[in-house]
Amino acid sequence: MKIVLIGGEKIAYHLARRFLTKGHNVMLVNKNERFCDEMAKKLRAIIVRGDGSKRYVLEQLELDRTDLFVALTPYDQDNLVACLTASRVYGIERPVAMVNDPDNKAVFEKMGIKSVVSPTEILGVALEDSLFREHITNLLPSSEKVSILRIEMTDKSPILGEAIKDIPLPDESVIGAIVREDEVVIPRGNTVIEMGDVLLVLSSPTVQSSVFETLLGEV
Amino acid sequence: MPFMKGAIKKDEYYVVIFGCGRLGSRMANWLSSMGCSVVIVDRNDSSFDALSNEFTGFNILGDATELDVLKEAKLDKADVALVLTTDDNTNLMISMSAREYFEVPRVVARAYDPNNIRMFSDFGIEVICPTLLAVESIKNALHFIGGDDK
Repeated sequence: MKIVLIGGEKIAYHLARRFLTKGHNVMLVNKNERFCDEMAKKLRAIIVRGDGSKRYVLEQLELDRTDLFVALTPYDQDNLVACLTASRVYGIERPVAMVNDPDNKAVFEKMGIKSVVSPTEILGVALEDSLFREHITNLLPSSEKVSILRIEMTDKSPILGEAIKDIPLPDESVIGAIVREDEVVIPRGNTVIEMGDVLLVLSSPTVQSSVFETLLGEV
Repeated sequence: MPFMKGAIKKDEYYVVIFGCGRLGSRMANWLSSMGCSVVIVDRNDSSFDALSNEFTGFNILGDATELDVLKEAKLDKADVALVLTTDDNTNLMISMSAREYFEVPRVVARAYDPNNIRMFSDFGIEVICPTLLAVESIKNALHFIGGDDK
């Protein structure tokens, strides 16, 4: 099995380094001549100069269906075509595509490319998490369907002293448990929120920001 | 309208065109003059200069490899998508989104590289390949070379 990295300069270089030190065979395919020359000097990988979304370039790589094929160019259309060609023409089982526009993930999946990574999405989630890190932790950061959030009540929280039934949370969210001084309280409608409570909240990611606003005030 | 043979008859077709170059702009002008409702998308503002005063549709400035741009063009409502940018990969991606994601009934795309035709047609996209069209025309023009008098 070899690892074939299409496009992407810095990312491809660092991924190649990582896999080479683990003893894998790595192949880098890139359009940029200067980059290829530089990589040929730095890495013990096979470097192929060419457009990895083109059949005549992929033809030279002697692809095997068990190879790990990863498309990393800054253009989603090139990544899509490279992965589709790899899977449909060369039988690669699970090509991996990077998408620059996170919305394109859904499009790639419709085309049968199931391993899609969006750096924008990952950075976005990481940044949002660090923005609210003091009081909020997303306990299930990789899930797209549900967020499990751990939210600490501070003195600025607008819901201190209020009963759960009076808190205007969005419909697609629920307070599942409250940790209060190491005791777990399963909340009922008349449970009153106290300062220092840690709420475990289940919510749909789409209403996440209004959950924060309701529970913590302006964030 | 002849180009909609086989499709449901409607008073007004909604056509979205990608790429406002020589081909895209001509198609846009013609479809407009035929009474279609046309939206044309290009990422260069100056490309729209090629539209004539026959053109009565809308233009959208944007990169059609972004899903939001396709949504803005209301591709989900389109009867036909004409995908005519100069890059095969871009055309493949737009056509596939149009076909699989927005479920546009007819998607016609341009592919320069004959090797790409199969990929388009596998996804139910109709392909126009200028390279093959030119090859055919030139062959016809040179029909005497084979020795056959036609």
